[in-house]
Amino acid sequence: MKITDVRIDGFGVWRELQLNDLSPRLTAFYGANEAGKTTLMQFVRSVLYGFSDQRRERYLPPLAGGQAGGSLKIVDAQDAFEVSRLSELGEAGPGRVLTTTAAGETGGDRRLHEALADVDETTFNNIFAVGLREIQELGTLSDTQAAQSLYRLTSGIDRVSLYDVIQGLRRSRNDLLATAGQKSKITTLVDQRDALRAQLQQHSTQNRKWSQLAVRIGELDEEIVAAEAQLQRQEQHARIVEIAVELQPKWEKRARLARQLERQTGQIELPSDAVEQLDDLESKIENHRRQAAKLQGQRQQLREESQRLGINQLLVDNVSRVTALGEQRDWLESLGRQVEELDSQADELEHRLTSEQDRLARVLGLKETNHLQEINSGDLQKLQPLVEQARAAEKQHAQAQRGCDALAEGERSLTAQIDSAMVGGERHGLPMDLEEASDLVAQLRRRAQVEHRLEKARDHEAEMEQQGRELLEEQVIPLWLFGWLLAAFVVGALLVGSWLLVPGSPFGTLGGVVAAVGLCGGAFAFLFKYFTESAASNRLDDCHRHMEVLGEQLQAAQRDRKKLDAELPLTDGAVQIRLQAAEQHLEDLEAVLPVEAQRREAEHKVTSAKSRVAQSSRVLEEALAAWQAQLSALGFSEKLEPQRFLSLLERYEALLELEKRARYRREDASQRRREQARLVRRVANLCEETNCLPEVAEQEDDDQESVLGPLDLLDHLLGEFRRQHSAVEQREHLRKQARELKDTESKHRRAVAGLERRRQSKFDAAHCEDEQAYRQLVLQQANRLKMRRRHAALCREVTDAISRHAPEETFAELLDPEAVGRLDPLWESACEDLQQQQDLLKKLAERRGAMEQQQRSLAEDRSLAERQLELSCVEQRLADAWQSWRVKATVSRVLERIRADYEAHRQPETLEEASRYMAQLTGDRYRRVWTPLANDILLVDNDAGESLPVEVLSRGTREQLYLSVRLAVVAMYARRGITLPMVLDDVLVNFDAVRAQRAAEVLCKFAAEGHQLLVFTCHEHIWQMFQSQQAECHRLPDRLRVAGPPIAEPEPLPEPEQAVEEPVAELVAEPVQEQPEPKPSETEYAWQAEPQSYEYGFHQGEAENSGTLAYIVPATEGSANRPDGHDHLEPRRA
Amino acid sequence: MSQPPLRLVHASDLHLEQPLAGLAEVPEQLHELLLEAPYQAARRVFETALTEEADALLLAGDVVDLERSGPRAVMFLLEQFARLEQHGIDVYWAGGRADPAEAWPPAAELPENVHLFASGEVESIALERDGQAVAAIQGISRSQGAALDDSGFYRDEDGLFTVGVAYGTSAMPGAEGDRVHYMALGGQHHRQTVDQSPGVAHFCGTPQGRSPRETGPHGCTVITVDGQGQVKTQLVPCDPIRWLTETIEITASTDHRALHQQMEDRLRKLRARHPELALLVSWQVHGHGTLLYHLRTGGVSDQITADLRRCFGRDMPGAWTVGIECDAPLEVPPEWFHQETIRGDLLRQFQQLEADQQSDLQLEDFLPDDLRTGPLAPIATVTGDQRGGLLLAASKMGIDLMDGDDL
Repeated sequence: MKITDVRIDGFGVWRELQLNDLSPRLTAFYGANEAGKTTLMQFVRSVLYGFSDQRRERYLPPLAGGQAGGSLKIVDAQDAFEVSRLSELGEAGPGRVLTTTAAGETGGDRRLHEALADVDETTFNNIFAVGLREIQELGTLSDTQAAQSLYRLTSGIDRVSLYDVIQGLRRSRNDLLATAGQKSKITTLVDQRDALRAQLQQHSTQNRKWSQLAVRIGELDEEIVAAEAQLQRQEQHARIVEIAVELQPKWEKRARLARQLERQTGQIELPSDAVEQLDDLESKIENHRRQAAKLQGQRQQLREESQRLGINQLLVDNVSRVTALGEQRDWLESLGRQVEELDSQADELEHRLTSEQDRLARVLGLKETNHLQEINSGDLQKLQPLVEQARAAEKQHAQAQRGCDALAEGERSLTAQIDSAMVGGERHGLPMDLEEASDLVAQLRRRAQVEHRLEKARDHEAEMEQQGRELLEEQVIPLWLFGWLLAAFVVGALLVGSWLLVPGSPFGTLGGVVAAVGLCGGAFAFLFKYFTESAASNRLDDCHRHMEVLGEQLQAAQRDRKKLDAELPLTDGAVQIRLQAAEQHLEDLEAVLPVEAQRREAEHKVTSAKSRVAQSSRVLEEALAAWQAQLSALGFSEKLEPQRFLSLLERYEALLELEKRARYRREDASQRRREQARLVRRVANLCEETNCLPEVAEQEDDDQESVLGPLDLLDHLLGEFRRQHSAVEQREHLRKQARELKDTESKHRRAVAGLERRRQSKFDAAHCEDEQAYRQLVLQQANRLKMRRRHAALCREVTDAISRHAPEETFAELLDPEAVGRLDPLWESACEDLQQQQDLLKKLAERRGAMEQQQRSLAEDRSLAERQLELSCVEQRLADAWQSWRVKATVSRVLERIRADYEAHRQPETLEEASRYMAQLTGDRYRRVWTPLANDILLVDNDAGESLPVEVLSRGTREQLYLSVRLAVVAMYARRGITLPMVLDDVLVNFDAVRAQRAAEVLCKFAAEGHQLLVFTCHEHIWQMFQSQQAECHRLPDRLRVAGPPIAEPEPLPEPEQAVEEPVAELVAEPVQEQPEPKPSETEYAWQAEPQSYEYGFHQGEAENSGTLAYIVPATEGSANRPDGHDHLEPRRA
Repeated sequence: MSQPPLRLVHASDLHLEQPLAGLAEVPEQLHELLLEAPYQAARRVFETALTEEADALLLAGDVVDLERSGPRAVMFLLEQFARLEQHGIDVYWAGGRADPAEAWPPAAELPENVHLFASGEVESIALERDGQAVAAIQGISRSQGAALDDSGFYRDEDGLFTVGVAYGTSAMPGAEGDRVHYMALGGQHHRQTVDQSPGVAHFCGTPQGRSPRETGPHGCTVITVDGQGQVKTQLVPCDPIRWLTETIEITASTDHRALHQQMEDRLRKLRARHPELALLVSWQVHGHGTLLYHLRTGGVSDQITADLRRCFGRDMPGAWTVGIECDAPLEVPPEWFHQETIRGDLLRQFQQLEADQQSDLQLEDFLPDDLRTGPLAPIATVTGDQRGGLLLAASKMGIDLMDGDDL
């Protein structure tokens, strides 16, 4: 961005000021003091960044009146526009901005911001548009973005500032761990940790306290137990005394009764219930006697009932035999049924045998049935070979007959097959001979071939005729082709004609060529027509020769056909039909040839079979004759056939089997009958032996006796046996009852005797003769018993009263008649002791409870665990902080190495450039400008290689340094694409002539590199120096002539010497001493004599309130609170 | 070998005196649980013995350091021992480093069911059921400052199943269980079976993990001995709060939002898997990509950690993110090492320091002078095993700073 025109409508002292066509390089303006140079610079700042409050206060409203504001014409790259900023009277804010392009487009401040490339006003004021004040303020490192940027830009800018990183790490490390006395995270955590450990140590004594309490509680428990035992004893004593007092009357009464009873000792003692016992004995004796009499009567009744039962003893004695017979009853009954069944079966079989014999005799042709019974099986066996012989002969004959019939049928079939072939051939008039039929087929095939050849020749002849017609037509050229050929010929002739006849025509100039083309066209048409017609004629001739050859072939074929027709007996039908019939007939004849051979063979076999049939017939007749002769010999009918005989023979064998079965049945029946008779005899005998014959049988006659039967007799016997058995059981039962009654009766009688003995013994023991004396004695004893009871009751009362408190002897001593008077004092003394002991016990219990409470509170105390948890957290945080410090220290270590390398070898390009400018400005006296990267300071190396801090430089040299740095920064901005005009307002005022001349040269060279500079000076010789450098130079217009009353310059320029002292004097409480000009000797500077004593750091001091953030101080002052006087990180040299 | 079936519960390293550690800050909702976790875990051990109807509880040392626990632990143990006594369950306690036999206060008398083994030589006690010996329990407590003499362990001569209880042994690794059928060992916080044959030697581990290194489930071991003398061990988790270390692999395309999302997804799954447990989750990030430079304390890790704690750490039981660690080596583009920038210089410097293991980092230069000889002086001393991790963390921070990030 470059400013081409400046127009001030009204600003400060200026009104209607117009500066046009400013140079894109350096323009030097001369203006005397109060000419408005600074106002002009402020105007540029105001148009670009607005009317700040400070500028409004100082420059607005315009002193000469008019519209406040103005405009700048700017060229930025290829874009040119005018920026105007105006402000109304009394208006606040930056003012209204209007941008107008060359094309007349207007807009806001967007173009302006783009042209400024986001360089803020502070940076612009301190870098680009600087006056003498600003250039001196740089040394104070005020808290401005420009100052920071200046150092950042000059101190190794990467993506971030190494300076920022190192400073950030240092602050972060200091936050973690600072010197003793300063608060930092790690030291705070360590303090917390130590405090927690101390608390834990204190808490660790809880166990001992708890154990001590437990021991003390144990001791108290023992004391309490002892006290309780003592209390118990005292209570017991007091209770004894108390009971003794209460017992005194009863004790004395008991003593009196005891003495009375003692006097009655020696008398007979009867039981207290002696009378009741005696009465009881009497009643028991009477009761037993009654029971014994009753039982005796009952036994008599049972004996009589047993005699009434009437038991047959014989039957009872034979119980085993009766039982065995009873078990045979079913068998006996079964034997009866078996005998009947076997008899009926035998009868039936015998009946069937008789009827079957009659039927068989009739079939065999016997005249008498008895004759059959005379024939035995041996006779019949003799007929068996004859039967088999006859059956074999019949079978053989039938087989021969079937074979003969089969062969004859085969012969007939073959004959029919041959006959059918013959009949088919005769129907078509074909020869019956196979050879003739074969010749006929061959002739017919040749005839068909000739016919086929004739048809093909005729078709070929027709095609040739058609081809000949087409070739004949091709000899004539088509009309369209002829037209084209004619046209080509005519055009060619015309071209040739025009060449010959009209040489001046358009074709005349190319006459030769045109004529040649015309001739070629005509010749082509003629030759094309000739060759076409000639080729068609040749092909037509060939066609005619082929047709002639075909005619000859047709005639030859027709001759062959006539010849074959004459040879073949063709009567009707087409050749193909006949050929098919002949071929079919030939196939039939060829198929009949093997059949004829088979027929002849079959005929021979039929003849042989017929002879075998006749022979078998003879054999059959002989066998039948032998059979009939044998039948006659046995008396059988001769008509009986062998097959029939075999079936009859089976029936005869069945008859024999039937006869055998009938005989067996009859034998079984007789055997069963014998067994039945044996059993019946055993039953009858037993009945007689046991006198159990039925009464009916004894009374009836013999005929009626048989009516009863063996089973009835047996049933009678068994019924009698069961009745007797029941009677015996009844008798045994009665006997058992009688025995039991007898035993009970005996018991009663023994009891009576025993009771009488006991009664007598009682009398004897009491020395009584009878019952009356005994009862008298009992009355006497009852009176004595009453006295004892009263004594015993008193004893119980005494015993209950003293119970377990003390033995009776103790009370006997207390209630002794001689000591009974001391009971009351003794009671009072015991009560007092008891109260004292109870108080002691209560105190012990209270102490124990308090200790238990302490123990419980100790057990519930979780503060130990809470402290441990806190401690673990603190230790973890401490470990994290510890590790974080290490990490940051490690990063710092690495960055320190990088920083040292940068400082030594790789100062930023900006500082290198500044060094060049500084060398040019100082005539190589100061050759290097550099900065320790960890501090916002600049150092300058002189030609002796010494690094000097800024504050030791003279004011002029310092301003040369700051100008160098600014030029370098502006160049750096330019390299980054930010080109802004540089306005220098009297910045060379403190330069001597030589330095000013060098400065003018440097600035002109700088402008020649593409930077626009507007230099204001109040010194004409300086202005002339720029003139001598061929720079564009202007005098500012006389504002007094242009505008109204004269105004004072906003602020008088500070005197050079004052300007030097001012910033330094404000910085520190003990300011750095200004060094004498022009160059301080090396020995005059403490930092040079003791380089390690200088350090560059930040200190918050009084200047902080005035806006100064950081400043340079001697190390001894800056680190006054540090023992060694320097930061552990910073270089110990200047 | 015919043997009555047995059921034993093996526990050790209850460390009632140790609340959980390793957290730089304790959230309020977890404070109570962190304090009570050792006691809750121990209570679950005793309840396991009751619910399993165990024949005996074996305590293999480091139950409690009474010097650091206070009387509360004593009362707690007496109460739990009394519960077991009511159910007829014996306790066999072998003292360890923290709880030698002589440390138990004489004033607190142990119930009769508790057998605290003496130190010096192995003591053998018959475990009886219905008046009949079913196993032999042998044990020895550790003496202060003396090695454990395990020569007294031997298998019962009558063929009884023999259990040894000790705070570690001096046997060779893998031979700890050679003398008895089952060796109940203590002194190791991680569960491990160190010998299988001929006898089993088993460390049951602590019932509650105490630090981020003690991850995974912790509890006691239920030992089941069948009729053939076969031993089967089963872990019964007892920890009410569990440390977990989750590993996440990232790729070159993973940014911090994607990583955050992955962690959220993983935490949701963990919550679903352990709905009743409070979780303390440490993250290990591996993989590739530029995100590795920024995963450091004070970097993106802190931001993700704060977000995860806010989303998942407020509930109870929640999943509290302990921290995010990234030990993956740096994978910077090779051209960075050759760039003439401060970052290039930085990388080259770190490369040189890593290559030269003998070079001194000279961190003491950064210590304030008055601290160079005090108790904080070791902060500047970097041991060999710390050097690699320190350089990695420093290089990450350096690259991060060169990217313009704040400290």
